[in-house]
Amino acid sequence: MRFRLPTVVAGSTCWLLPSVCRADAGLLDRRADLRDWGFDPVIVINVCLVIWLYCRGRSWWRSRGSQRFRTAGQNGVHQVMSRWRATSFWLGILLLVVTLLSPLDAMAGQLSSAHMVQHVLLMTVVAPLLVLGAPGLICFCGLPAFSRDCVARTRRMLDRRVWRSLWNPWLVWATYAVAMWAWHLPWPYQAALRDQTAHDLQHASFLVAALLFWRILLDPVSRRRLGHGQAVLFLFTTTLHATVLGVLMTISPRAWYPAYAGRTEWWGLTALEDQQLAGLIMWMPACAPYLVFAIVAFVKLVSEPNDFPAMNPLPRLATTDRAENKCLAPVGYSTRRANRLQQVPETFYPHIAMAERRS
Amino acid sequence: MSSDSPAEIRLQQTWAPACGFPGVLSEVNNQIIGKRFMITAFVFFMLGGVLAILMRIQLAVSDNQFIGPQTYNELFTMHGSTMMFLFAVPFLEGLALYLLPMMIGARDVAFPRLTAYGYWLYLFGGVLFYASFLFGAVPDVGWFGYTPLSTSRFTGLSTDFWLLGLSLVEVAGLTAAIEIVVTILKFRAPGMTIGRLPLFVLSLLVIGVMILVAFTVLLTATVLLELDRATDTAFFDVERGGNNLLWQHLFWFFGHPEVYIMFLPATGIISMVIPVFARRPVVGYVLIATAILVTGFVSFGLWVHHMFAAGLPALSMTFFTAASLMIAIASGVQVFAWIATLWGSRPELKPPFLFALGFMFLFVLGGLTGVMVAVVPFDQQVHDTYFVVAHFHYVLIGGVLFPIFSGIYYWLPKMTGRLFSDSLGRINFWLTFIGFNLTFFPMHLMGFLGMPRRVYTYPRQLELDGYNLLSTFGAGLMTIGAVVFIIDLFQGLTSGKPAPDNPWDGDSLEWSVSSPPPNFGFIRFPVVAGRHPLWQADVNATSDDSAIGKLREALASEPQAWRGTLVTDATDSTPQAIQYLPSPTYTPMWASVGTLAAAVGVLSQAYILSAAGLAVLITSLFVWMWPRESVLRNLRQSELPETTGLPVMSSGSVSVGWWGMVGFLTLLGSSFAALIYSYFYIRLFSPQWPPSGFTSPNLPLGAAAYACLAIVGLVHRWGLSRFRAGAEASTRAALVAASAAAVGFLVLQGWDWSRQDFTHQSHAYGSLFFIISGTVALLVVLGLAFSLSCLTRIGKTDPLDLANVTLHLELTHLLWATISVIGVLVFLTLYATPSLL
Repeated sequence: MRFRLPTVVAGSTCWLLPSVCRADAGLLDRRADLRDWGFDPVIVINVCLVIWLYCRGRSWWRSRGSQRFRTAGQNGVHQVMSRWRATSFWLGILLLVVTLLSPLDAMAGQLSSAHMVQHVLLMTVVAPLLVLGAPGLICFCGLPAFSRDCVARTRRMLDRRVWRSLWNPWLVWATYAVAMWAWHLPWPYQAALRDQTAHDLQHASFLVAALLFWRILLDPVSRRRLGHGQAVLFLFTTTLHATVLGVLMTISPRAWYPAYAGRTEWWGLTALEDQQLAGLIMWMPACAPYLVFAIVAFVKLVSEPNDFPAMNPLPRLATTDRAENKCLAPVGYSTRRANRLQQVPETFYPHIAMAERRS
Repeated sequence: MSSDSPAEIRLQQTWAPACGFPGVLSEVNNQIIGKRFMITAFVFFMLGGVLAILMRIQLAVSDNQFIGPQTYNELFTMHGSTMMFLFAVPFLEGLALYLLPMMIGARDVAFPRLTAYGYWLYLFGGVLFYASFLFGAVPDVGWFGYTPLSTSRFTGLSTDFWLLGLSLVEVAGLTAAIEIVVTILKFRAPGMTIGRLPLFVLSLLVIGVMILVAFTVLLTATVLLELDRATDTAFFDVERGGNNLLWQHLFWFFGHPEVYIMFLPATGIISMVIPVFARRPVVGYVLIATAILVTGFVSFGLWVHHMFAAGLPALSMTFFTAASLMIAIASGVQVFAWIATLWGSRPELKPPFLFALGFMFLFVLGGLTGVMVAVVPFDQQVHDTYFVVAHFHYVLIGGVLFPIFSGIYYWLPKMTGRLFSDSLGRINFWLTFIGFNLTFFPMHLMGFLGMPRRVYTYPRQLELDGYNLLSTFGAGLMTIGAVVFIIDLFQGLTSGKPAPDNPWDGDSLEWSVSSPPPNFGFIRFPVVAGRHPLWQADVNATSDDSAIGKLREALASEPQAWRGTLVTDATDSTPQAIQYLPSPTYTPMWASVGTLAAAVGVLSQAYILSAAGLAVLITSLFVWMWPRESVLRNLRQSELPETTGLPVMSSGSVSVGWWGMVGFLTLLGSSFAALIYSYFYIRLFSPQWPPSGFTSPNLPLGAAAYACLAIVGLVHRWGLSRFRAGAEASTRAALVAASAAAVGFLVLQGWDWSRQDFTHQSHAYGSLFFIISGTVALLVVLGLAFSLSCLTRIGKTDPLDLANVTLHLELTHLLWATISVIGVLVFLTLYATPSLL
């Protein structure tokens, strides 16, 4: 093992220590207001770490990556440096900070609906924005050389199956669902209210489950992503179970989290009303991002360049002959689209191609 | 299509319909079954219409005593149930089953026997519904059957007729949904990607998935209610811990998507008709497709807006109003896309197009009132008045019946090979359109003036006589319209001119086959290069010598000795295999007779009849599923694998069987989701759980039992991988071990049942406990049957048999994997949460 044990131990200590020596039971004596910015060291350290890695990663890419990865362009690797991805990442980080450190966090200690907004932002807004920023690849390249090897070795040590199961849509779907349902049970939820470490654990598990979830939908490397049709089903089924959880929360005649009793009154809501609001947020607004991404996937699924004007009949059906196929592209289509058109017949018939090769 | 070559004659013989008396009962071909579906649905439509006319006569004048309150209740219940369950959905399913293969370039649907089974169940279910008239026990609890009114305390046999008839029709709907989804995914012509599907087919794909989720929940709910009635469980009995609102939740979880399950294919028809008459491609294909998806997606979150008056948290109202408006946006997008398609075009006002125009006008009106009732304060005002009646008739008649008529007039020349009279069609349209508006527009005003729904008469002092008389007069006009339609139908069938293949110059594939089409549809399968294949090329032309052209010629009028069609990839529709399709057989008919007997046994409390029915059902399912040696021999002898390079027996996601299983498992999953939802719903409203006097479930025993299930799933997985590696002995061992573990589960679960000091009747807790775990046990028995049947089939050496056995093992593995997951969830629900939560 060339893990440089002392470094790892020192690193982990720095990382875990703040969470141990901290006891924060939330704001109990007054209504949270705009002053209440939090400074949770665990979050601050981790966010700073990620920002540092991302910046280093991008500068590494700028200086060397473009040459090294030129050949990998087909896999979409060259796209990770595009400006909109960086924007998406920074937006995600900004929202992450707002979600976890702004007065919203203090409010979340008093209102389960605010807490729900926090979770919804984390799982359905922050996570997809971060994933779109291609953080994995860039941060990996931003690691100092020795730890990069270290990470790579660990990655190799992990059983191939374990690694691949992180991409198994069923497992990822289930992880996301379990994270969502388990933390809303009264006991774990209230544990997170009482104890800041449990609270961090809650947010971390939400974020990790959501990152896994959105990664298989939005990963920058296209061949790893789910097909568009599968993506729609994936999001649809998630919406269904999230809706059911929201419904149960909304219609429950009892408050699930007695720990909120006495705190919600700062906001003029009873604990039950607050819970109903939380359930409703989960039921409808929280599902809007799923719908949006499902629409994007579906539009990609049904879009195609050759929706010809009606009276512009095709002279020939699809053939493998490129020269003949030029007439497939009507006037007005860009060359790129026309090229895509020409590629269609080739990808069509691998079986036949195989059969011909055999004979 | 000319039948000159011997190969084509042979093809026609293979696909010849069954004739003679018992023969017609064995028919499985999609075109014949589709037509039967449509004709049966139309008969039920006429019956539902007669009921409506009776109601309108009763309401024509105030204080009328033409029919009493009881009959009136029966009439509106039967009218609503008939139109929703026996007309709209089955008719669209029939149209789908008839057209689908032709529209996507296949010879039949994916599971022809399942189609036949679905049809018989639908027919029997409908007849059971109407048999209630013979027994004087007509359902009278409304088409929604709210508890507690529909429990055995308040209603007798009539509700049993309703529930059991409904269950049969629901199963028919589910089979059609699996059929539709798998056919669309696997039988598309090469080149027909999802983005090139005709919009009608695309809407069918979306509603197929919706039916799988929504109908299953309703089926579960009806079974629970029937259990309450027949075996005295307590799901909906408040005194024993049950909950009445649970029924409303389950019903509307189905009921709201149901509206779109009817409406989306109807808009699909419009999206087919309008571009053809405008003579240009539909504007915004992607927009319309997305609107269809969004409507389907959002409809599952909205069911509670049917329960505004049922006591929801006040906070929630705003949310539902906002979310309900989402649907208006999606529908608006479609309407604008159609208007844009028509903009500046010069369509001929033929009947299909007239009905499409009428649809747009009426649907926009219905949609506007929909937006109004989505606003809660307004809804509270008009709730249970005739305003709501007007609203949903504008949506359902304007939004579903008009498109259906449009589709009928549009596709009749294709189905019958005859041209129908334009003038009679126009007369029908104007009678229906004017009659409809006269009937239902005054109802808006009646609603404002305070006329309540579902009340058999009204006092003269309300001063509503004029409106009601107008309404009744309009209903009369609509009836005359229907009569004109029937005259048109008979006249066209007997003396109509022969129809050309493509009378409207349509763009989709069904117009490339002859009118009426042969049972197999296509001799050469079409190859598609765009969304409007017929406007782009002659799809019947012989092919060039490209790879796909060669394959196309190799498959021309093949296979001949047996029915078969081309299977393509679910996403990019590249040719993958050739699928064997069954010839006429009696098994589906026997299976449905068995199902009917089981239902009638429950109805008449003659459980011996139910047992006999189940026995018939299981036997015929066994005969149905077991691969026949004669078929396998035919397939082994086929030369198609050499000439085309495509296998005639496939496994995994290439085969349709695999997809059918996935559909079935989706259905199982949603059914268990509904059961687990019911569990937690009832628990939410119970003061104590388990209720006082009930011991908590035995956690270790439950853990042991359900661990057995998890083991079965894992062992099956291992067995399948061993089989793929060629180690048949280990597969055999795995199957034996898995079966032993499954038996272990049954023993442990049975032991746990015998230990309980409560029954399914003592409390809703007991009902939930026994019914949920009992359903798991039933599934385990089903899984055991699959495993044991696998055991008997391992050991074949022929590659074709190998593929067949692989598929068999894969399906068994899929089933067990699902049962294992369901087992984990059920264990957590029944055993873990009572003590942990």
